[in-house]
Amino acid sequence: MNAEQAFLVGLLALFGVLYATSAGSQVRRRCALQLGRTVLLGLACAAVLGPFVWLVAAIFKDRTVLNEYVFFPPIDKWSRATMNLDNFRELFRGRPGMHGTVHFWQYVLNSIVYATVGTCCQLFLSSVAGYALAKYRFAGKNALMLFMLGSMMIPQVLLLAPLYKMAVDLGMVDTLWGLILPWMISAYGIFLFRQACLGVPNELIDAGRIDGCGELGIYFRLVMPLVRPMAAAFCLVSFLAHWNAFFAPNVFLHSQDQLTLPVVLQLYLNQYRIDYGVFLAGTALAMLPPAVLFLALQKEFIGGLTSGAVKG
Amino acid sequence: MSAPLGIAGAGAPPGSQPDGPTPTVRSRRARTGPWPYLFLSPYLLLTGVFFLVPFINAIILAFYEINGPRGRVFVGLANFRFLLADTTFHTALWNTTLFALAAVFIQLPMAMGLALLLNGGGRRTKAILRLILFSPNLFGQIFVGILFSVLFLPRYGLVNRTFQALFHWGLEARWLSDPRLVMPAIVLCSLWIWVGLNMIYFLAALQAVDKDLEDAARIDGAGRWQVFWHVTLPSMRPVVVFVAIMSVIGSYQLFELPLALLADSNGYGPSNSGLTLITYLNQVAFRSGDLGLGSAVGWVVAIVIFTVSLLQIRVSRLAED
Amino acid sequence: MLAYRRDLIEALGIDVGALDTWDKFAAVGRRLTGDLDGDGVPDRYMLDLLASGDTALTTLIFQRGGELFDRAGNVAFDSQPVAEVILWYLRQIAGPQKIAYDAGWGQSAAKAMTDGLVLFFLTPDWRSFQYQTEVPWLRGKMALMPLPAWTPGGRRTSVWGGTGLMIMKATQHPELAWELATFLYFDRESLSRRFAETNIVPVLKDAWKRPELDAPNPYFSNQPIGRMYAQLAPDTPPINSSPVDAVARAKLNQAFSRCLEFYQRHGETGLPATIHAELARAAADVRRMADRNRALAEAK
Repeated sequence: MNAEQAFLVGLLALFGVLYATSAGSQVRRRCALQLGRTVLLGLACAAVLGPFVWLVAAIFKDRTVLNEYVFFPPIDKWSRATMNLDNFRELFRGRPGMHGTVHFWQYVLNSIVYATVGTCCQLFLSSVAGYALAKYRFAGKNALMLFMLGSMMIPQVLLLAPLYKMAVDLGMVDTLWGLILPWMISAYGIFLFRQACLGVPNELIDAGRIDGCGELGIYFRLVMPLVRPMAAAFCLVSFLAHWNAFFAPNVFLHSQDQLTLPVVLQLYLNQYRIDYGVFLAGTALAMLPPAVLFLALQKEFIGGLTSGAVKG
Repeated sequence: MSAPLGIAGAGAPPGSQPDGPTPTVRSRRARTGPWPYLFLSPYLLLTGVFFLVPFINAIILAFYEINGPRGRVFVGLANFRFLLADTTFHTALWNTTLFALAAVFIQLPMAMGLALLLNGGGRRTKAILRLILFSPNLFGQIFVGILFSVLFLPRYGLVNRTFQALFHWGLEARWLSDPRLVMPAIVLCSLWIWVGLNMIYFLAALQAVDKDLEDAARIDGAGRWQVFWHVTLPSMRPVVVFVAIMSVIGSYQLFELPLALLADSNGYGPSNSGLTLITYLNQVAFRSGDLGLGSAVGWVVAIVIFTVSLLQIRVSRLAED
Repeated sequence: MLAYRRDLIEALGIDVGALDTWDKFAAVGRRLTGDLDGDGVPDRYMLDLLASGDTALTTLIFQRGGELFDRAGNVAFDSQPVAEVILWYLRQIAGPQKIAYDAGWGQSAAKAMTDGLVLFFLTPDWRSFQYQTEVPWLRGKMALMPLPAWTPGGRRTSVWGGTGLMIMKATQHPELAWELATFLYFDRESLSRRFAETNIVPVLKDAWKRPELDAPNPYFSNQPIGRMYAQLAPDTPPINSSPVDAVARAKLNQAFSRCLEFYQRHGETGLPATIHAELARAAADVRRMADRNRALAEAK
């Protein structure tokens, strides 16, 4: 029985005792349940945060001691040899490209451009289409929605080869635009926005028409502000998907200076040199922009995402 | 697994609400004439070029056998017949179905449990814990796969050492090279990533449940569990069904996670124990170069997803009564 | 060759020169493998072998004279030599007197090497350079020896991996591509420089005479590893490939996994028969795949 086991068993015993003896006392019962709740949530958080702590420790540990210590070395063993910034140094050293060294900031820039432009395009196109599906009646609407639903069941990987061939023929391969264009439409996004736009009261739109607002004006000035939570939610989801996309960028991008972060980071784990430290350092850095975005859009994200699901 | 992690996203069920304005004035309809089409035109154009064309290409390709860029032979239904008899394909189908079952019966209850636990807390703790439990979602599948391939190392990996400390078992467990442990390893990974996301859905649904109904049931003498099972859960039905369907659709499309996690065994796991339908498609279409067979696999995957989704909707409607 | 911890082996009084067959190697291994500090977990293993078979298994198969495909490109791994290698391999990684451990790659293998958890590692020339970059603190403590042979006087080297160069039909400058290829393969000056920087022995037999190959390598206890590899090179078994090579390797691994499961559950009874049956099944699957392949059919 080691320390961790003893601790958990002790907590379990405490809970058991409190609960068993709580027959008459409401307070004691509530205490027991609160303890149980805290322990379970604590375990869940530990399970989720464990890999994060390991990640942070790993990026500062020297290669030689990566597997020596579970997380950080004991304080008395901290030294230049065990903890250093070598991983970051290697990461920022850059990689050889066709026209000289390509540095880390170039990859970050590529990822930012790809994710931002891709998200904005998807946001605009999906919201417009979702609005049309929600607030207009026209021939072929149901057929179109069925088609969209079906399109989500087709595995993306399947279409990759013909799309790649198309990109080569159009001369768009190895460019960020060639990567954005084929996936500018998101059926999921369209459905999300349709759901959100359904909640916009028709009277508002009719009023807008009576006031002489053009259809486009109604969309931009009346409807969009009301579906902001959904837009924020979709923004985050789309940004994450673009930022973390690996397979398609891996296939479409070739030149070193065009690569996005996921693609370039896994190159540090190749046959000749498996550099987990550098990869993990890059991963940690790559996690920062999505984290910042999430913190900024947290409230709207949660609200928007769930309003779509909760209402049906 | 749920939520859009593919490039164009996973599914959302069609809404059940009425839509569109009810034009009481005929001129109103005439005025809105071309606008819906205009709004939808970018979607239609892009879909036409970047979805329909490759899609039809894939339909046609499924009836061919491809050997290199110039070697195309028409083989009719031979690809499909091959698939029906191929044990590797059966393994992929079985593994993926197992994973989908794990997603519905392990991941969702865990998410529900966490949502219930979180629901009783104060606002600030709720916000912090929500953030913590959601954060794994910020990583991409590839990152998580590679991260966990190090955490699952025998003797030195974090998971191994944790299990050894808590259960006195697992220090030498070969999560990624023992065929019996590969699927549990993938499931563990997926739990880490997606329980937080599903928990958020359930949490919001819990908050939308009518408190009066719950109180009424409690006054009638129902215990905590009975209140949950007979009042709370039925009120959350739309969300639960939505999340379940999305999880299943996403599970059947599981691709980057096993590919990265099982990189040492080429993405398939020892004895194909980690082979999923899409990694099988990848193997057949891109690694063996036979896009024809790959297209056939894609077809079968789409049909499987469609059938399973249909079944799920049926079951959920049945359960309603 | 095998790379080993020379300092530990010498301290144990082992003479690697005497380990010239796998039987002798395994016998010594049984003595050395075990639990040193009494915690129930073995702390020292003789040999690093992958638990899933994979490249370690094929390396040993090729050394034995087994093949994945024969000269005509037909599936050929359902044979006696392959079955014998699998039997031996299973005993070493899972038997009651096992001597092997799966040290993995990268930092995990580095730790196993540093701690002395595993003493011997299968090491082709390209891998020897990996040790120099990943475990630099073992400089001077490592050494190389030829593989123990399967039969006395038998082959003491094998093949693991390989590289080729492909010029695409669609290239716009085939002459330039060809010029580059000829330079890469034939220019002796750059071949020896490349050897000095990667430990990879040049494929050009003529280049083996270059003096750079005799340079003592301080990491491997000043052994002239280039010369050692080059001396073993003429014995390298020829490898026949096929468009279904990847499928064959995957099916071989599958067969191996099933044999391992059988061994763990039933021990040696019925094991040879099972190995043959699994190999036959895997070979049949690959043949079916090959029969589908029109390119192969046209080639015939």
